Amino acid sequence: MERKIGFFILTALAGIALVIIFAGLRQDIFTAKDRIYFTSENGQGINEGMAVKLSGFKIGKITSLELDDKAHVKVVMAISRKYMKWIKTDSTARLVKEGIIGDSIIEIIPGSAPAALLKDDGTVPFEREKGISAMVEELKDEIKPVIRDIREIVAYINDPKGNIKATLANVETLSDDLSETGNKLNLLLKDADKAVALNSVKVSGLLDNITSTVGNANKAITVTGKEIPPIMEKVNAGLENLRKTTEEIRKAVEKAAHSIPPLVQKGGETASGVKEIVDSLKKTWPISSFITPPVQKTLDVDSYE
Amino acid sequence: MNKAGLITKTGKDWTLSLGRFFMTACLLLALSSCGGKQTFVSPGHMNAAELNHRAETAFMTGDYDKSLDLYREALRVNRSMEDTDGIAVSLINIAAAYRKSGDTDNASLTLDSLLEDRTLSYPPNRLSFAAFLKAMLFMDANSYGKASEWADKARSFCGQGACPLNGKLYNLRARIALASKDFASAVTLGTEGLRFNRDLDDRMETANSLRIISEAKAAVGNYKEAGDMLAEALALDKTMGKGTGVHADLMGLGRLALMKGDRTSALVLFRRALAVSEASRDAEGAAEALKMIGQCSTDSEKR
Repeated sequence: MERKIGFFILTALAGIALVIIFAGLRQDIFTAKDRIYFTSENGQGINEGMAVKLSGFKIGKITSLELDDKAHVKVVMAISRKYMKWIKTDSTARLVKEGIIGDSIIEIIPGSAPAALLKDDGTVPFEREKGISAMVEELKDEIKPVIRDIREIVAYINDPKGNIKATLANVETLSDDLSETGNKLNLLLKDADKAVALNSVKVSGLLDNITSTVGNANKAITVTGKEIPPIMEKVNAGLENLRKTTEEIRKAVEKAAHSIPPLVQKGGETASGVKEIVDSLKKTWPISSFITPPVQKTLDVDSYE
Repeated sequence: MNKAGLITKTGKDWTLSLGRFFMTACLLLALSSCGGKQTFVSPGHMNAAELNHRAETAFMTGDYDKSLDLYREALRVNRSMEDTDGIAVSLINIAAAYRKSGDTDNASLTLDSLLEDRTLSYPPNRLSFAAFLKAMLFMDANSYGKASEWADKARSFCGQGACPLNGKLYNLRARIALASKDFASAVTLGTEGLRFNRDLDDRMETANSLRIISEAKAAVGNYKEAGDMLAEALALDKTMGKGTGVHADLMGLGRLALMKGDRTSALVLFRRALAVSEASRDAEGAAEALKMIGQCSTDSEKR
């Protein structure tokens, strides 16, 4: 009997030991690790236990953070030894986010092929990925000059005393003159048979008119010719700025685009799931006893207001 | 425990277990009967109720345009089910939102569409409320005769039974009497309203009754009672956190102090009213308080 009990306890202990070993293997407890460091100006966004990844593979984690003499944060990372062959002396550690609202991780950028391997207790430089607010600030700085240029151009065009308005007024006058001249020509042609002599005089006047009108047109064109190139230069500069900004925005959107639809879909599915659960709970006794079914009611109209 | 080391149940154990099972079952049955009968609410009614709730929230925050849109959508949903009560509620709320946004013409037209509709039979309590709102619109326009007429109609919709709007209707009639300088009637009607409102535990309307009676009493020189009533109204409005009520009470107390010739107290009360109206973003109330503060200062300079 006692032998049986002893055998049973031994089997149970062996089972527990196997479970611990298996869990340890899963957690990489038995894997040989090297410690490497980086120093950051502050510890914002960096936590103990944070994953360290290389090309998307988890290769280790942050084991501790401590302040150095300059009040900078010294961050210790434990890296599985088998992955150390990709970490060179010119490798970099970056604090990045997985997706737009994903967890923050430390990403190791592999160094160049000729660089030496980083050894245990080695240090890598550290940098932070730009946050959304920083990107927005940059975009804002890019957009500002474009808007300023456009505003200047519009103000220039709209200035009632400006050259553009004056030129347009000249063109309008010219158009009126031409119209008048056309009318006169029509009249002249109708009366051509009756009074050739008179017509010759009128034609002469008409020619004077045309000469004067053409003169006006020349002046207007000369003025316009002088004014348009600087405006076009400004417009071109503005458009170039706009193109650059659009390109920046497009790149940013492309970078974020692949993560947004699944996130939105997941969010929608989660919200729908939560709503279903809450609705079901509401219908379940005894919760249903405490929930009053929603009713439509009139607003409380105050007799004094 | 038997020889094999296994635990066995004796006959007595089984009887005990069975007894416990039956007791638990009985307890569960008793508890479920306490829950009462569950009312079924259709998805359509649920949707209308949700729209109504969202519209009310928008109304409370002063976003009357959004509130109107949501009430219109609720009206459409109610019409799609021909829910007469829901239709009446939506139309009344649309009219109330129009009134608050200053569009009294549309408010009146909306109420007419409910009160003059002979195709559907609406619940009398809703028609009574619509008539009360119509009376309020006439009161806003200082048409006291019409306001009184519609207050009577609102009461008549209730029939012979108790009318839930009695307190409000008495207050409205008391205001009409006050505006017509019939102070004795204002006190009588206000007191009747106060009784109904206290019975209904309607704090907002109780404070209104107290304010109206106080005004009437102050007008005939009964400052002591007027002051006591305003102080009670102020306490009630403060418990409800009703900024417009607190402002009105402080202004009333300030005017009372002025009537008694106590300019210093009046100035303090008007300044308190100004602070309340500014914090409540009540421009009209702030202007009223500033006017009274100016009046106090001018009077002091003259002296």
